[in-house]
Amino acid sequence: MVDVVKLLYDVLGVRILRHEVIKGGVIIDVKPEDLGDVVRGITEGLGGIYTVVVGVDARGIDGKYHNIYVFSLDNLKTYILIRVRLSPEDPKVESITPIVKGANWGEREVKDLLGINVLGHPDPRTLILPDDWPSNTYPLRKEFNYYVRPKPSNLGSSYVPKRSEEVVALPYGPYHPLLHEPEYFELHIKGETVVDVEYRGFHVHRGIEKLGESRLTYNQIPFVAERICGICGFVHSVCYCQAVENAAGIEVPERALYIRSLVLEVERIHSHLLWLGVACHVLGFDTGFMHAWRIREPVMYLAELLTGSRKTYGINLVGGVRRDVNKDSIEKVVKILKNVKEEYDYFVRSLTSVKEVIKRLEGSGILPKSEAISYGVLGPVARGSGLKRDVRIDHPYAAYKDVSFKVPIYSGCDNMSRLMIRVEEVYESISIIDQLIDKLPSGPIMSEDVEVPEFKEGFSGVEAPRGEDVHYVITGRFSKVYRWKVRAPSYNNIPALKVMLHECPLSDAPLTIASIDPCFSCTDRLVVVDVVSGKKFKVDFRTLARRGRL
Amino acid sequence: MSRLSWIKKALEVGVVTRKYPFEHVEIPEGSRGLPEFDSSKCIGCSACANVCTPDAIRVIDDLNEGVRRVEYFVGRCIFCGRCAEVCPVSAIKITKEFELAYKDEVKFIIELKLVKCSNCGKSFTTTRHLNYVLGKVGEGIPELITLCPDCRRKLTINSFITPGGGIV
Amino acid sequence: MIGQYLSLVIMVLIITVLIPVLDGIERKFIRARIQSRVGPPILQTYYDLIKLFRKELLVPSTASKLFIIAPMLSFSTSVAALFIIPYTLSNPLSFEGDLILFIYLLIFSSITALLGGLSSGNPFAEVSSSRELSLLMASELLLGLSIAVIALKHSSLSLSKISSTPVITPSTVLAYITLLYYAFIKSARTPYDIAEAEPEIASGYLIEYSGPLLAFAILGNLVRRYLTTSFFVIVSLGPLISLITSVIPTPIKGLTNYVLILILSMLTYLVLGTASVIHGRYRVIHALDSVKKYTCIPIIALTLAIVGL
Repeated sequence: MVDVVKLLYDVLGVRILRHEVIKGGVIIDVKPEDLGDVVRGITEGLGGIYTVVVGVDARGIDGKYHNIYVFSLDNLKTYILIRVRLSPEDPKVESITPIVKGANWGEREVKDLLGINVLGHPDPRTLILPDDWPSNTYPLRKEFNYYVRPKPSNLGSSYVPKRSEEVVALPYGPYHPLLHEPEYFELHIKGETVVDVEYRGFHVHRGIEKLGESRLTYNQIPFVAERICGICGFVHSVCYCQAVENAAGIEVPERALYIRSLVLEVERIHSHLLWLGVACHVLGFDTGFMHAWRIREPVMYLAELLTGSRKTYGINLVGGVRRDVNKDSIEKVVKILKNVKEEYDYFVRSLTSVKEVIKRLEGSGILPKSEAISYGVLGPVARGSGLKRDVRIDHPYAAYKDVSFKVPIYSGCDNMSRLMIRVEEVYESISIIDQLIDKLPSGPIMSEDVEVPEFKEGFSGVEAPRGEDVHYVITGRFSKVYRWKVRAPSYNNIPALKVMLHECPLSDAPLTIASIDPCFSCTDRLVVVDVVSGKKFKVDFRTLARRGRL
Repeated sequence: MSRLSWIKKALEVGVVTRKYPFEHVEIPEGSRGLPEFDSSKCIGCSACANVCTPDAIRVIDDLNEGVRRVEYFVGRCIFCGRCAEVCPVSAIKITKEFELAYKDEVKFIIELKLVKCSNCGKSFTTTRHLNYVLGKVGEGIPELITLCPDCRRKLTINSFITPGGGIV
Repeated sequence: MIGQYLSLVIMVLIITVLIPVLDGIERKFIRARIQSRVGPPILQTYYDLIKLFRKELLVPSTASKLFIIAPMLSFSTSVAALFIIPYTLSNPLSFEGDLILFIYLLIFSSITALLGGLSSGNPFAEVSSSRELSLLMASELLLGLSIAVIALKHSSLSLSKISSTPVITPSTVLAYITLLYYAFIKSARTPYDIAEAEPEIASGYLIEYSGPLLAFAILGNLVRRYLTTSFFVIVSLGPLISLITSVIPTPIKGLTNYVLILILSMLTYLVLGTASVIHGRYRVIHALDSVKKYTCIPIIALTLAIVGL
């Protein structure tokens, strides 16, 4: 840690107003005017990779708005959090998107939800709020009550579809057989090649961050965090608990760490099997889809055996876990995993015989390494482009420092690389689980001291099946959280689709979109906007039907 | 491996679809389903309601009738089992039941008598809760047992102020 | 005379009734069982079609009149082609050039199916129809070449003559194999279901069809799928079948021929179905490549036929 602070001062000098060391990272305060130089210093000077932008309405703490830019120094195993404090009357800051492409969405989000004006942003359209959201109403500001549902204003969209003679705009979504969640991709195709892609998401807002701040207590949030995602929920629950534990300085007992890692790896297996099935389905090979999910079923049973529920495990609390694993379960775990491994092995080898599938994966959806770094992509997408990024090694957490495993890296930059990485990760996960079970220490599963002091900051990252998931927490009063920020891995991966879908044949487009394993539930997790109930036209059925046909 | 390996595997495995609900499906032990409330044990302490994330358990005091109602609505329950964990008298048991479709909105309600403060008449807890606490701490101080927390505080302070009087 | 026509109509009717059941059998016993699942009931295709006939017909405002006519044309021409097949070794409708008529009806049926999609105005349908057209052009070449070989070796363009005279030479054997491959491509199953690729282009040319029109479009596809398989059986195994039935007494000779053709067609249909389940979908370019590579076989067959082999 001391090294990092010295390094920061070496590179940035007097620009650092003050610094604070937190668990897993360093927070530095800088002046808004120096932001660009500081960001350049971190990215170019120290090789930091963009992680997330967090906006905080900190008027209850120090009377200002905070904008926090987080970068990851993988080789030094630290996160760098750059904070600028902005005046409450007119919060504005220079955009860093020209320097770091990945910050595009983060800055638009902060503008939408907190009203922090980001100057010079290359694409200042609304990101999250719907088109009929009233202006000057910022949901994440503290004065916006959680239960308020503002009246819609006139519909006006900042998204204007681009049309031209040769280019056909093919809409994928918001409802499409390919997509499992509503999102909107507008593929602009010339003939059979995609020349551009327009993405508009955030249709499934649920107001989870605002919910966390308003009516939930510390130990209720893990249950909500688990429901952020339909596949990788446990990751969010662990990451949140770790963030609070980091903020409060709580030591989690070893056995609890092992149990958390065990369940995390089980989740990784079932998530990758799910993805393999989906990839086969997208490629038209339904038999592979059915068999992949057949193999996945015992893993779900395994999860239920270990945690009490097939998906929303509910075993995490701040300070540890609330359910132990006993010897019986362990024996069954070993047996089930052995079967799963055999079946999975057969499945993967059979898959290599389906030449059409293999041929379509190779050479499609290319994401060059430089773009991958610039967009800050994560998980298998990053590792498929040759980047050595895995939170389990870069910022070790839970019990991962006690087990040895390989992180597959491929430099193919194409869909095939991403598939191979996920295929191998399943084998690695099975190996990790075997090691964890072997070394499982005895002891308590919940920390004795779970007191959470006020207004402390915590930051944590966890390697979800899709990439790095980060949570930022500022603890608050009366057992509540003052600010909770969730950034799911798909948030950083989806903007990179623009590069991957460029000059891509149309038939590869769905596969490319599926190859980043987008989890839109994770990505769209902010403010709830009840537009549907607000928009109650009084039209008769005939008119509605006719309008629907056009 | 050839393509026929898929057919071979399918012949080996057969059909994996289970004919649920016409076939019994094994649920592992410890799987969390519907919580079962034992109204005879409940003391109305509201620990379950405090910890319930979706507010499926609510505790409502009906002062007119002098009862405290502990209401459980399964429609909001997320089956996390926290209520069973925090209940001091183990009045809640988590069963494995998951087939919970009902036609009507069903709520499970426990009614408990409230204790009225002998000084100001305000209801402050249930008789069972009071007895439970007494069971833990012994007889307690007779003057204070039937008083609500406000009155209790006032009496205690007064006893300090008035020399030689009241409680120690 | 009337008896012959009547029996022809009855035979075609039986086939038309059996086709959805055949599809149901494929969906349940082939597709579903290989995927380790139970699958729909055998009559499911019937249920789907009946349901579709009861649904509302919605026509997009950007669609032309061809949109409405095309599926019905596609279905009726494919059923018309069923009438020309010589089930009982002597079809009342047969004439010297009915092979050409058969091909014509088959291709007409395929093209009208696509045209319907193209005329809907939906970009997904445009993309899918253009893909299917390129595949069509490549695959019809296979058909043309193998037909040329067969017609050459039989010195006849009459289906009845071709299906009753055995001519087993290297060129005809290659031509028969090509016809089997052609049946596989035309059946619009994976790997060649490019036009209808559901995850990619949301059902392609069928996307704007609903209600009765969709039922006709699907029926047309199913009958065409059976037709191409049956054509292969008639041409390649027909002579063998007629050899078998030659030992059967006269009254039920025709009937036995018909039943054998039916059974063999259904078996071939199911075998092709099995092949499709273990394939992934081809990208258009790969599909065209694979067809292109395969075209050398009928070309060799034609060369052999010309030199007399």
